[in-house]
Amino acid sequence: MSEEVKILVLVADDNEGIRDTTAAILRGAGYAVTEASDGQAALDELSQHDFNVVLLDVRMPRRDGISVVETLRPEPPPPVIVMVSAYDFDTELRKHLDQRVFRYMKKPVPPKELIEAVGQAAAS
Amino acid sequence: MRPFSALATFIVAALVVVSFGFLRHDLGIQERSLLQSDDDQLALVLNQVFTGLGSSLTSLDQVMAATNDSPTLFQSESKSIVLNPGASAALTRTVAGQTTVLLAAGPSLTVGQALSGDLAQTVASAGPALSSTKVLSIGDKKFLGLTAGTVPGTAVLSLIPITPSKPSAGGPGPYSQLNFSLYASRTADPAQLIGGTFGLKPLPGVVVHSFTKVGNRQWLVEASAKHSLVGGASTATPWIILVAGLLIALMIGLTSEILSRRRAYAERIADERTVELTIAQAALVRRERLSAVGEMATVIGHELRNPLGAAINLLFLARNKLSGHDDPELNGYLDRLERETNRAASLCEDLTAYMREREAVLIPVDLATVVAEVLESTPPPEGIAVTLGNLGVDLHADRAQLTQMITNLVLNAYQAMPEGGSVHIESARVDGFVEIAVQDSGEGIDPGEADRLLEPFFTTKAVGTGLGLAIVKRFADAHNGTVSIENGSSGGARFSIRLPAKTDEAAP
Repeated sequence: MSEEVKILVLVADDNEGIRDTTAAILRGAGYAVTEASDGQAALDELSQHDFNVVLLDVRMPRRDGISVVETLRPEPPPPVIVMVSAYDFDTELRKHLDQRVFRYMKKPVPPKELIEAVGQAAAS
Repeated sequence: MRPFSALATFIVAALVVVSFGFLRHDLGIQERSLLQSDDDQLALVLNQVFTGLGSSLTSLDQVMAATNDSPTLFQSESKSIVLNPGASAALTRTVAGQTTVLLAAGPSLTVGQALSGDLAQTVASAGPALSSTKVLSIGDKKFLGLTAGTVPGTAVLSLIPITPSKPSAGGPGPYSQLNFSLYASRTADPAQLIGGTFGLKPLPGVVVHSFTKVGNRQWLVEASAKHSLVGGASTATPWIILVAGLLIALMIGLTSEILSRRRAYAERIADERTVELTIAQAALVRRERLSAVGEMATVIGHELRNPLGAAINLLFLARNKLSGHDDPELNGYLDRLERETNRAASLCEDLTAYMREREAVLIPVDLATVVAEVLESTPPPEGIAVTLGNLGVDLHADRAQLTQMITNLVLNAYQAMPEGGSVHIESARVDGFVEIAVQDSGEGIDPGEADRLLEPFFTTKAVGTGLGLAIVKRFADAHNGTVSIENGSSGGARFSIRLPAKTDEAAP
């Protein structure tokens, strides 16, 4: 097995069904995936590892996805963020998060689109 | 008029009429009683007059006997018994049934004249009390004979001419209020009428009878009142009661009517208010329930996305795991599972779109661009060709809602043609509206169901959520527009959205 440097992806979602299936799909696509079950856990992971891409659910206990984005410091460069939600992303929110979010995706996200989006995020 | 008011009026009026009748009857009895009393008194007065006259005749008879029938004395004394200028007096003697005149004064009797008939009989039987003859007709004149005498064989006779056909002035003194007729008989025999206020004519009004005794005869005294004897006020009383009573009855009826109408009006108003309140309350409850249902639908629409997402992911993982195996039956199951799961996801999408309360934000929109985007995101399936007509209209619309509406119409057209066909999209300006029409070449619609097609969850297709057209309707409503469905002239269904065109006048 070659020691290829894998792309690190953090999947933060409080819904276990979504979280572990999404992680499984991304692992199947060749990514190294870590899971976080809420916003605070995601921040903890982010402080310990340098992730390339973060899939971030908006509504989560303890700390929501928006708060997580707001907490990230610009230096060193933070991971590329893909926001996921079962709710609409309204214009105000998009304006607020501005350049800090790479893409917004609405649940349920078709697996092919998920892989494609993560691929594009990793390449950006 | 209401039955109660009519009944009240009727009862009071009936009581008044009965009272009126009773009073009138009572007055009639009183009147008659007074009249009878007056007539009786009149008869009595007449009786006294005749008694007095009888005494005069008897006295003269005695004087003549005492003076040996002096003619000179008779001429002077008889003046007291001649009652009127045309009257005559005589001293008679009856011998062997033959009565002759001994002495005479006045125009109708002559000395030596033999009397006959009733006159002779009456004179022959004369006693101390006055006797009278019947009414006698001598020539064309009528007379009444009065006679008395105490000396045997002689009597004094007074023969008085009468004109019964000529009405007399009226009753004496206190009886001036009476009409009367005096008959020399017990019955009202016109031939025996002595005189009266109406001559030979019958007396008017209520007539009472009384009798006065003249010798051995009874004379009839008939009387009626010239004016009411009980008095004007008493006569007027029943009429006053009748008129006043009927007015009161009418007022009672009217008052009752007005009160009952007011009450009925108040009750009707109260009923109407109650109905309005009930309706308003029911509408409020319904609105609240719908609002609660809508909220719940929105929550469900969102919350189902997680399990559906998990299911879609698991399906993907399962397919990857099975990629080495070639099992057509299992693949068929998975295909169906994927379709059904995707359909559930679409339902969530449509449900939240349908429930979303959002005003249409109108901006100028290039319809051709929107249609191109729609066709890019929802490309026609194999076997369906899309053609575009004129899309170059000036349009102000909510871009997201317009995109959703056209997407739903295009999807609806695709689903209507599982065997393939064509879809034509075009626009035009019609009656101040911009019309965007999507025409398919499917089987068309049942015109009876056209309106129902726009209701949520009403669907005639095996695919689709039943919300697509309802969303189109809802968004069109948000634009103050309309949606209409009809069958196209060349077959297939034609769905058209009409949105208000931006008025040129509004532009600066």
